[in-house]
Amino acid sequence: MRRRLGLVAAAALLLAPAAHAARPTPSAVFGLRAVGNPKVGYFVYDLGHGATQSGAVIVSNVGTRTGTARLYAVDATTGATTGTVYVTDRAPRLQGRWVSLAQSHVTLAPGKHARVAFTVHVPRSAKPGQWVAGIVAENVVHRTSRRTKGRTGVRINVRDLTIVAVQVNVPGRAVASFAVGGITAGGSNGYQTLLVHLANTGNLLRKPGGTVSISNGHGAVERLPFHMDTFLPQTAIDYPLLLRKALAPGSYTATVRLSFDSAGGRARTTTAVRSFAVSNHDVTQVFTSAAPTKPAPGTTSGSSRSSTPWLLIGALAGAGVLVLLLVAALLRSRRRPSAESAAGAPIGSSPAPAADTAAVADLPARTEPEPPPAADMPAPADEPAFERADDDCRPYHYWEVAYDRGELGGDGVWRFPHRCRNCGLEVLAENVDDAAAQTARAPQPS
Amino acid sequence: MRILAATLLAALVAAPAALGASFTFTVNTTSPVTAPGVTLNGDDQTTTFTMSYTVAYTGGNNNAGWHVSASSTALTSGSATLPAMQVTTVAEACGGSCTTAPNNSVTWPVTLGTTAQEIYNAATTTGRGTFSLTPTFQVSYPANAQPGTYSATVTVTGATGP
Repeated sequence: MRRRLGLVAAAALLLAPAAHAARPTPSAVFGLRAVGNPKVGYFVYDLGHGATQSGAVIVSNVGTRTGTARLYAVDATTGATTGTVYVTDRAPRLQGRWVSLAQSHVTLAPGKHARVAFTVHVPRSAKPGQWVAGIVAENVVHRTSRRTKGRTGVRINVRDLTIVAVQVNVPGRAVASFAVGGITAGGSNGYQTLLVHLANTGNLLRKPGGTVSISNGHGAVERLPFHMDTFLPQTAIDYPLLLRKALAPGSYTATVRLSFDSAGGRARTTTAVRSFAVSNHDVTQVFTSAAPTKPAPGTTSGSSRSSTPWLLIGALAGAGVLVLLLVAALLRSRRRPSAESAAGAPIGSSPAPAADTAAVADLPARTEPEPPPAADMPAPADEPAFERADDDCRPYHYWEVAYDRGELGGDGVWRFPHRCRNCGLEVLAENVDDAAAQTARAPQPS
Repeated sequence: MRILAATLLAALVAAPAALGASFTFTVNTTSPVTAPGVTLNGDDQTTTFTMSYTVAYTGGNNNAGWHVSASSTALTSGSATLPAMQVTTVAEACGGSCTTAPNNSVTWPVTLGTTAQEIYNAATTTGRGTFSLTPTFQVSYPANAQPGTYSATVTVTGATGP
């Protein structure tokens, strides 16, 4: 009985630290556990200049197949969206060099684990502060890549890393400070952002919060609160803030208030006022559906693309054989009226919102869909008839889009009122495809 | 005998705490991941695909929280490239033994670059247990995209630390 109980207890002790990671196909799955530092689950060492500390990690294979883990140390830095991230694609140059592992590889059968020793050596030249490195267990697998045929596709090779942090606190004068740099407009795929350059110029890990208040010549425009994850000392990022309301082209002022704990633990705030501008190109870049990396041909700083549906122009050309032929040619150049295209489209004559008007309401500068080249878009057999009456919304609506009344949805997607010029139906949609899809589900107006 | 049983029971209860937190991060999706293809037609197009990860943060003192980060090389096909992928959302579900749901502070979309950045996190004292994460990746095909099979390497990292 004692022996049985002992076996049960031993088994429980062995299994206790193992995670239960489900995996559909047999493979090795590696876990890491920090030995000797159970309070936080990762390593935190207070080490003076020139000091050396020994430690160990337990690497466990909680998968279902024998596998090999590659073990190595890496530098840590602050991710673009804040938070500690690790630089795993190059040899360490900073604190990762302080960590030396006794083994570079470990092969484990399922359910087995191994203790791997390491040392942390702090150079005499190290600066005081809280510094972070990481110990990586990377699953070493060799898989054959496949190629897709016939269509344009994407093949993603995945590296799978598990990391445990090694934080080293080097004694000395503790400083908590941040610097606010410039602000630029950015974004893509319908998401407009502000990039705020921030630097942790101190030597302490901090998780700042704060606000960015945007104004223009007409007053307050938008206030963006934010809460950051860990910001590592002596690192800098361009922190992206998602705008809730799109900014029209123009000049703005942003007041950045950054709050964080001082070295003594008291709340401290750094305030900076920065100017920035939103150009037509910035807005076009964001609100063109596929976010081309270059401005479309013909883009100039003083113009924007047309907000008038291209097909509408054809419809308004009126009656007459010549006009019908023109319309026919135009209609044949696209599969259906709601198709969108951006790249290569010329800039239309619709005026961009004036820079000195209220920013939020004037959004647009969104690129209106342009027809793709006729050669690439053969007309389907069921192309709409030319003699379609203006008040007939079947099979298509003629959408007019109010880009100045865009709304950012809870899902982070901008939607704009789409109103059919002929039947007056209005829907809030991401684009004309979305509008068409919505109306296809809803009863048509009589 | 009763004493022995009590001792063993105590050992069983205390074992995880004594051993400390264990952290594993698993990519369940088999590599390489093949995203749905598109037929280039002169329009801007997007496709999405998902991956499946498992984060297990168990044992005693699993208080530090955790982070899932991702980076990506450029999507290339010969000399042609596609815009950077975006993580548009990450769905989370309990996979077992969840005592505290993760409190995530990452705002999506996150545009992937060569430098890692968080796509999901669990704040301090949250994310205890085993959780399934399903990020959605979006691939954009501009109207002028070149045909071909585009490849990239996505490095996905699960970490526990500050």
